[in-house]
Amino acid sequence: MVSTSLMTQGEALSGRVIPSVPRFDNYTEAWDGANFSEYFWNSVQIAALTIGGQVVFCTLAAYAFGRMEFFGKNILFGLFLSTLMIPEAVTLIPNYLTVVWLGRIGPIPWINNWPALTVPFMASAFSIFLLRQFFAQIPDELWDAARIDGAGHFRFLWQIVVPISRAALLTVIIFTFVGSWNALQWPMVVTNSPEWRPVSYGLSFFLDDAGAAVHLQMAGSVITILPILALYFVVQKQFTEGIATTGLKG
Amino acid sequence: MIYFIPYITPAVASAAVFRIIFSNRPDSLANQVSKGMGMGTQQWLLEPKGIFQMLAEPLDVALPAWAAGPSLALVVIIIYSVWTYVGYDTVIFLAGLGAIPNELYEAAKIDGGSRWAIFRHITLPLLSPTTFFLSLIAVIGTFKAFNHIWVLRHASALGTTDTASIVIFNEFFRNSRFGYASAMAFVLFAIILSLTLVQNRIASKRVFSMVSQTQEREAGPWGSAAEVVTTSGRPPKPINFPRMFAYAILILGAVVARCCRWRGW
Repeated sequence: MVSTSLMTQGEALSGRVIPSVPRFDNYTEAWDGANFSEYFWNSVQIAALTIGGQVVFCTLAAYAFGRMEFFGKNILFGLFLSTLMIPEAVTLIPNYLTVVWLGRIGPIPWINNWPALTVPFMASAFSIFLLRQFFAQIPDELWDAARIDGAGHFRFLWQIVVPISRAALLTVIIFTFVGSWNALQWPMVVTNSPEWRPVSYGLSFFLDDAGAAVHLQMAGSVITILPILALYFVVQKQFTEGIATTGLKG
Repeated sequence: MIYFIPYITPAVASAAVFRIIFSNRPDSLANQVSKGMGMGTQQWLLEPKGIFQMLAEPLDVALPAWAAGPSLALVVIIIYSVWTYVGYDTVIFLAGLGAIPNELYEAAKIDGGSRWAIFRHITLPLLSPTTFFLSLIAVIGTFKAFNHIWVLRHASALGTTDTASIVIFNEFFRNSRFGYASAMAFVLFAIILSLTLVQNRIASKRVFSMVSQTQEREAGPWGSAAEVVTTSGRPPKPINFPRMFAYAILILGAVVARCCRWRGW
């Protein structure tokens, strides 16, 4: 793939494996042709907002599920987990209607804007499940000690639970990033102008647009994959452990 | 860790590569291989004909329509899905393998078990919870599949590659038939739910359970399928299906209510 992305169009179509002269111009051409700078910036913004929301909301929810006792806790948690079973195709339409409705009653439009792309993903059953499992393992002695020192739930969560759960939080962040970077179906539904479209959409549009320009298609694909690959090599261990311990993906 | 990369690369990008490998150009990689094997050039992703039918044609055997098998285009998509999930499944199987206590292998060796017997009677049964979990994930994942099929589908394949997600999306988004699309989504959900129930029924008979050796741990009412892999050596509590079913119905009810309100009923 990388080698095709460095070929001329003629070479790419002739079935050669190694380009005669590497052409790095393909990358700039694909970057400009697909308008990747805009899509990239969109994707980065979407990913950042989603990650921020996930960390805040899922930590709070997971803390409640993992360390507090309240009426109907187990039933509520079971409800959360059963949403993992429901395929996105089923919830696509209700979600869309909800987003449209929220945009109508709220101060800003949601469709074609960042809320529709980020808010639905700010809490996920998977992240809550993962964090809850982690929080529930924290020994009760820590909580007792914190109580004696006069800390409430919030102080305990902020000063003790979050620092020792850094590994779990990092896993959540990685999964959220990969998920939002790869998302295609939902952004296609809730956007109808390029203003907020993410990079997956940009690439799929570019694939149809570039037609026979195989070398440019490959260059575009390489550009899209690079951030994920870079992240993967940095946090590889974390990532596979996250999957091995939960067996789920975001 | 290279084998894990297909799983994390954006599906659109890797599907684009597959589109080029399996393009119908006579010198695409797939066609060079098939020529090398003496099968001539194929249409690959543009081919709506069933694969068994294509195999039978040179033998002059006419197959009935139901035996034609998945279209060649769909076979390519299946290859893509397998390629994507190999890394993921490997990681989970590795976690499952690591959980099998070594003493069992030693005992089997002392008893003179051959490699095959050890694999057949120790590894396989002890891995069965993992296998069950992965098959569950694979079935659900297949029904959810969207991104790569969206890129790989082609009009020439005459819709033989369209999955439920794709059809629902098209009806909803392209044809604006909201009611019809919602109805299809519900049918899809019912199918997945009953498939899971059937799988669970089969699994309850065939999946090995070590509950007696392990301490019970609070896992949440539904927890078990997801817990399978968490537990190093600790097998899951059996899935509480009546309860899960009730939850699913509850959620379904909420969705129905939402749709009814939208239609103004």
